[in-house]
Amino acid sequence: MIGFWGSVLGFAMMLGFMALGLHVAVVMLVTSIIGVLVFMGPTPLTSYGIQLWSIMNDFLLTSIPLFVLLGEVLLRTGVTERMYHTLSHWLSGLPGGLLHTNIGSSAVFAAVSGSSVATAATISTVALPEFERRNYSERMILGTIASGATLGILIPPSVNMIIYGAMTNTSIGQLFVAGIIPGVALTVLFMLTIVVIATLFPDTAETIEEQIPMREKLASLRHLISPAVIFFVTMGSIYFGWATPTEAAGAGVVLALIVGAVYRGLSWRMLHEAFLSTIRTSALCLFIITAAFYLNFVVGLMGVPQAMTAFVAGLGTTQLGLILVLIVFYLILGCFIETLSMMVGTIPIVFPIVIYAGIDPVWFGIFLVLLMELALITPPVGMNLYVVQGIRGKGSVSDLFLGVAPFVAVVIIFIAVIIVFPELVTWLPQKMF
Amino acid sequence: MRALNFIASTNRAFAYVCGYALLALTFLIVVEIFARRLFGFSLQGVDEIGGYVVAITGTFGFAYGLIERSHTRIDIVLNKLPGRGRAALNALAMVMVTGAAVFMTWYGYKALADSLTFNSRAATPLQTPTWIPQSLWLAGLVMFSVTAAALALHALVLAWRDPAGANRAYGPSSVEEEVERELADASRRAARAARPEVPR
Repeated sequence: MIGFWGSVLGFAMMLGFMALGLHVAVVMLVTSIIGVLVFMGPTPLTSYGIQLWSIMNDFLLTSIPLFVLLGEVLLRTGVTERMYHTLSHWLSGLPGGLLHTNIGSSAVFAAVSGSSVATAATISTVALPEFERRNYSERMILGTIASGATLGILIPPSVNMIIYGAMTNTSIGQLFVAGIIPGVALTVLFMLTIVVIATLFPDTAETIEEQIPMREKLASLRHLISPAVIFFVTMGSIYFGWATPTEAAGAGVVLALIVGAVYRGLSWRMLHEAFLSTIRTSALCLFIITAAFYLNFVVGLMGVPQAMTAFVAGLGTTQLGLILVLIVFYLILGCFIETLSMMVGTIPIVFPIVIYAGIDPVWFGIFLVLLMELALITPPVGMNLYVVQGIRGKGSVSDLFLGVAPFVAVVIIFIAVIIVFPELVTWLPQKMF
Repeated sequence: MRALNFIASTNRAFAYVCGYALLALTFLIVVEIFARRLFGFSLQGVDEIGGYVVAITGTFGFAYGLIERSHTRIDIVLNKLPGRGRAALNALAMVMVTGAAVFMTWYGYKALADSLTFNSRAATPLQTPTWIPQSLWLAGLVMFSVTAAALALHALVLAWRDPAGANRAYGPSSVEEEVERELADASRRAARAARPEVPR
């Protein structure tokens, strides 16, 4: 049995190996093996093969490659680009103009895709040329794209939620449904922020856009139909209990292929590109997940959960105190580690404490996703910042740091809001069928 | 070099096959949903097959991901080191991956051997003999080990002879590369979307 400081040392050792630039999954596997050898001798290792098989053969994880494939196919049908133009017709009348389109189209794209980085790349490619000939503050343009893209992991479907659910035995359907209200609320808050900034500093954005005839505006709505149908079929079937998340993902892929056929974007070449990208992304996730599951198992055998909960019980902190400590912990960690690795690497030690403190696991999942969103847009390793900067291809990345600052503040405020009003997260999943 | 190219193209070929397997799975799932909702019968075992497809896709994907350098690494310290130190750590990372891959393969083989000895079957309506999916899964792990070993060998040689080359070939894929990849895709898509729509 391991004590609290032993667990902390083990965790620090794992971070140390990661800092050497070894593959994150390999580090987790090596840490588990060291843990087993030091505390229990080689015997428990004999079951490793069977465990590896049952982790990878888990039906819950089947949904990951399928949701990735859904996003990849849809991305390649050209629907995103058309959707962006439709939303720009409708949203550019607001103070802040075209900036709202960056947030809105990210939110819609997030509703059919589970990845933030893909969202950031796609929206930047479409949006940056649009702003070329207009008079907007560049920082605001970049800030809205990078922050909007973080909605990808909050608005379902979300690969991160599937992984969290599978590792902690929390219902993935409930997590998805729990993400809807916070996702919509955060989208609205982002837009309100733009309105406020554009009103206070009128030179950051031009509001008067060319008038588009109503007929054309209405006609352009057809480009929103396909994302809407895919969202309602996948999420609806989960909400009403008609299909498991995996089945919903499968149905989503078939719908996306139909959309591709309608837009004439379907070809063998496109399909092959989507395959390679899907295998790459899902293998990356699965490699980390298999290692993290085994780490979770070993950490349980070693008695880390008991050590952690005993320590927290000894501190006698309140639930709120614990949550605040976790926020600081994840903010610091998020400065060094990529988000997925951060989530799966910390669940084995953090989740037992969370359960012990009586925190709702679904609520905690959403809370964790919000913290990951923050990590995606805070320097030095915020991936979204670098993706947008890379596509912009000029100037300095510090423009992005300044551009996202107001949105970072909004996410932090929103985390405070769900702490005070946990019902925002927990109410909708309780209404599920 | 020839051997490495051969391994890379084999891995890509497997990745295509895995992609088609996933595609076939989605159609199977849709048939199952319709059958269950509309006609009240189940094909039985779609979820079981789904699990197998992902397990097998996963292990072959591990190898393909290694070729594509898409597995996650933290480069925050690595980037601060001088070229030779970085090359040494990049080679070390490849050696460690090989170790992990061989470990997974060895215990994967033991799991398969157990299934064969005990003639075990899945506790499902299909009662699939476990060795059938497990041997394909193990084949993926073997592929992973072979790929990792070949790359590790190459990385070690490069780190010794040409550290800059080792860092180019085996460094964590930088953000620029990620962006380039996304960008190449995205601009192709934009070109496609800009094409006038054919009225139907």
